[in-house]
Amino acid sequence: MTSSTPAGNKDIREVAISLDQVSKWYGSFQVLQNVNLNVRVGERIVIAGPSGSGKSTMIRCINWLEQHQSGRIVVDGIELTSNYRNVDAVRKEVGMVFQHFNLFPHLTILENCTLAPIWVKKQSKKDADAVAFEFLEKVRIADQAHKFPGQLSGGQQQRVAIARALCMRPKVLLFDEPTSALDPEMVREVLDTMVRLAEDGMTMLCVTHEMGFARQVADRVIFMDRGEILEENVPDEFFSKPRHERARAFLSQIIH
Amino acid sequence: MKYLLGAVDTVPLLLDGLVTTLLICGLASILALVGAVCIVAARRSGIGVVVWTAKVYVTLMRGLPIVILVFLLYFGVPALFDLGRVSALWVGVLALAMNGAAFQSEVLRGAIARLPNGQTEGAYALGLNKFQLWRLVLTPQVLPIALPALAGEIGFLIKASPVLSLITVVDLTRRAQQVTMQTFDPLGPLLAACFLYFLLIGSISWVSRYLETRLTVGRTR
Repeated sequence: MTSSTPAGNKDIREVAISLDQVSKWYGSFQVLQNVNLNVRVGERIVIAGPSGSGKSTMIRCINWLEQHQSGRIVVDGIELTSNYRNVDAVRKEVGMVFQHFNLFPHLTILENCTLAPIWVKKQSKKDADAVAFEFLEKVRIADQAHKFPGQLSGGQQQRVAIARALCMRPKVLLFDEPTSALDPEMVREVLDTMVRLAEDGMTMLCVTHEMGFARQVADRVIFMDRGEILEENVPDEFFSKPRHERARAFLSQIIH
Repeated sequence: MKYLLGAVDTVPLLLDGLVTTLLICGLASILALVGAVCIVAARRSGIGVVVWTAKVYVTLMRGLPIVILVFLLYFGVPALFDLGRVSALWVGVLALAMNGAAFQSEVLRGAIARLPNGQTEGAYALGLNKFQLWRLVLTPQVLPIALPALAGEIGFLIKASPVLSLITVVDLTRRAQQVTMQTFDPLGPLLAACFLYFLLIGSISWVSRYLETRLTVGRTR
């Protein structure tokens, strides 16, 4: 039995997420190849790479939406194993924002935000409502609280999804291509919301193609291809002189 | 006109048959829905033998004439297990429920397939467990989608119920026949039965439409 704390690390408390030699296969196809990553509390990390490179799979492993098959993932001191108590504990600490929002269409914006706090954290409806309004204010959409998701624009829905995740007061937020499904004119409002979150010190892992966002807020850019992390770099260097050949090829393709 | 008036006069004579039909179909519908949920759960369980059993059951029920099922349960099974006489009414409930469960499970499966993507992941990512996912997120969305077709299935079930008169159940249809035999009026009792069936099935689809609008209110633009 391995212990749940990574060995030989001086400032252990500062590590929010650690991935150690994580691998995953779909059938015979290896989507993640010995991925190592440490995310410290308050760090903002952007994960870039071509489609099919395993970036989404990697962050989806962090809240057990997908299961890794070898290696270790430790989130806030809790190791992800098939023990459901650990999985539940991790999911309480980790919020996720999806490409397609995944709001619940049968619930109002407010109910979307209070569902998990009431049922998972056992908050009273009054407390949950208060928290929800606080975060809906933060994403500047409190005036729409009593509408249904279908009545809002894509950008508004994604901001609600961010507020919904924040209502669980997570220690880490994962973003899985949060702006990829949006009309171009909606992208800005969502990115602005994410920038404000970053300024508040939220620990963030973002899979995104928004390189402007990466430059503006990321502490580190992780470049992945074919299931491997090929480069970890500060944004300025990653964009001006990427070290890896495939990172250069990728950047030349997405920056016009 | 004479026949219509005759039919109206006959309606009170058929009410005990109507009560039997209502009782059998009401119980059978509830059991069928419970059964359908179990079948859907079995098919989603991911356990090979359970999935396979549920699939075979649905295929058998969909391919089996309900008359045969009724005869099997009323004559065949008691003979096989030496049960003696069994209650025709309960056999009727069971037969309709077994048949209805298979068809209703297909309705539910279709409705679940029509749910927007990502609802399960969205709920799990927020920390909801599987029970909460179904209770709070999926079922409230499946119901309005499934309701019209479920109401249709209950309509089919009601229309299949006269078959039970073959095993001595005095349902609405059988009662109408009895009245005909006593009054020598070949048309009035049947017209009256038509009217009552029509009212019953019509009110079910009306209730389902009402519930459907209630459940979906405000959800989309």
